[in-house]
Amino acid sequence: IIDIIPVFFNPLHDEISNALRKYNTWRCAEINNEERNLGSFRNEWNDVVRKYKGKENRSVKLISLEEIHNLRQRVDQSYFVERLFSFFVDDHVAENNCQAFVENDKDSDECEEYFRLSLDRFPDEVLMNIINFLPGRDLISLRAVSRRFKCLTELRIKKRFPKTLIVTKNTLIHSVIYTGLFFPNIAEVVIGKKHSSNDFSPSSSSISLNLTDICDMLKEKLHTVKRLFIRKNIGLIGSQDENYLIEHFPSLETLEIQSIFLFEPFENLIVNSRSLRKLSLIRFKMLHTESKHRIINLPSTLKTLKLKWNESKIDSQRILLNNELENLILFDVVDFEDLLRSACDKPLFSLKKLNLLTRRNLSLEHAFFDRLHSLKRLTLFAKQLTGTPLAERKCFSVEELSINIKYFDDQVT
Amino acid sequence: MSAIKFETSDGFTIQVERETAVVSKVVKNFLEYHPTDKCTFHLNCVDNATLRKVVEWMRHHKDDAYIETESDESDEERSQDVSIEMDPWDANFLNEDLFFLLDILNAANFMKIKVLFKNCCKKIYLMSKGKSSVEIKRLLKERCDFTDEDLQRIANKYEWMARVN
Repeated sequence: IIDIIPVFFNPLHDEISNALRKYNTWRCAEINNEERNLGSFRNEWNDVVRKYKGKENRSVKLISLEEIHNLRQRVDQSYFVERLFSFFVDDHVAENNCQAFVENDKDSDECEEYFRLSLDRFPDEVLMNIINFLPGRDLISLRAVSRRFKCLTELRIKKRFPKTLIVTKNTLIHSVIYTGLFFPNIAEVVIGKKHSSNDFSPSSSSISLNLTDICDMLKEKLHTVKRLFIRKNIGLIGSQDENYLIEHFPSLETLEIQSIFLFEPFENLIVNSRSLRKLSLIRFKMLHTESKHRIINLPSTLKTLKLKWNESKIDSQRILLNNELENLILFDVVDFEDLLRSACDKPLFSLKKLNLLTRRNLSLEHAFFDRLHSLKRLTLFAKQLTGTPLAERKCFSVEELSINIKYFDDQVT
Repeated sequence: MSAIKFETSDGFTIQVERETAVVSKVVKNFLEYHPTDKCTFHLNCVDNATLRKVVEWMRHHKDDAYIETESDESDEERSQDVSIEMDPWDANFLNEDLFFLLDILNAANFMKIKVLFKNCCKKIYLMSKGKSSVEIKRLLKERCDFTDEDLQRIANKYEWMARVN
């Protein structure tokens, strides 16, 4: 056991006191402090050594400022250190008129008793072993005990009560019913894998269950769903009532649709959703039916819109950007310029991030760029920039600019 | 007969016969690499009373085959082993108050005695099983650092648990 005694000179007193408060935490570790050259304080040091050497199993060592700094860094890495400071007080230090410790010493008996009867001295790994035995209901009770227990139980709860329902081609109807019965707090539904086929034909559907089946089976259980990812053509649901999806997913915040026709139920879900914040449409097609001229007015809650790899022309008149949009990502969208042109009637004051990525030329001609008054981040990836030079556009608010152009044109860029 | 000494955090020294001491994996590993007849282990976080209790357990189990064969498990494996069956002698031996049990648990963790460690966990689990958060708080003397709003939010989040059997 090594004790460190701060009796030297006042300017260092606080530093050493602080280090002392901390060093107890790694009492168990082997610390070999070398005796340092103390110059004029050598005699004082010898007195201290004489006073304490030979008592119990203690030895007296001096530490340098660099080491104190080092100690602090090491001690700060321990999460439980703050509590330990107040409970371990060294008698030796108190005797040497270190006020901070004298004060602490008064309560040290009470503190040590409290500390003995508290879980603070047990590391997380020990408590985790107890938690592993607890059934679900007890985990929930333990969650409300303290912040530390909440963190410790989090992982077990996530494993025990999955919040994501994943439907792939191998998913059977029974597993969906089981999930609905036992895990009523479903927050996320994922249909299909991330890299699913690009085939739109209904016959290509390899998912045995379609969305209608899932909705019918889970019914009101889907009310808690906040994220819905449909990454596979899951069969036609056009015959259903157009409000079918919005009734089942009223709390939706994130919607990603990939490789699918935008039928009326989907359009309704987008337009009427009251909490939709993020919408991603990837490789989608708009359906040209009798509702062709219907306008998809994006909800005011929507903050992020991502359009990616659409292979047919978007009828730009049909998608209306909202004023509250903060993040717009257009990734290889065939006719994104039309979309931007249609947005020219709106001020788009809230737009903070704009990402335009295309394999073709990108024209900066239209007035869209003059309306982005609060744009902070602009990303342009294109074959070539054409039209009015960027510098002449009124994008004064841009703080972060990222440009990747294949054929660089000095004047425009 | 060679003996191993343990020095506790409160300054006591306990001498233990070698075949008992090697129930602790720390001792066993050390003696494998540093064969010696006499050595002292300083147990900085184990006090005298706790060590005596642990040594009593080690003496009782020193001939058990499963103590010899126990291996290092990963966390994943450990989390899967949730059987709460316990040797009746152990169950009786661990009939102690919670905080002494936690001391034994800590000592078992420090000295790497897996079976004792697991049994302590099971015993503590049985103590807190089926208790509400308020009862657990009282049992563990844990300070509640949640506001009323936090508690309400946590209660709402798993409100459905009350309805599911």
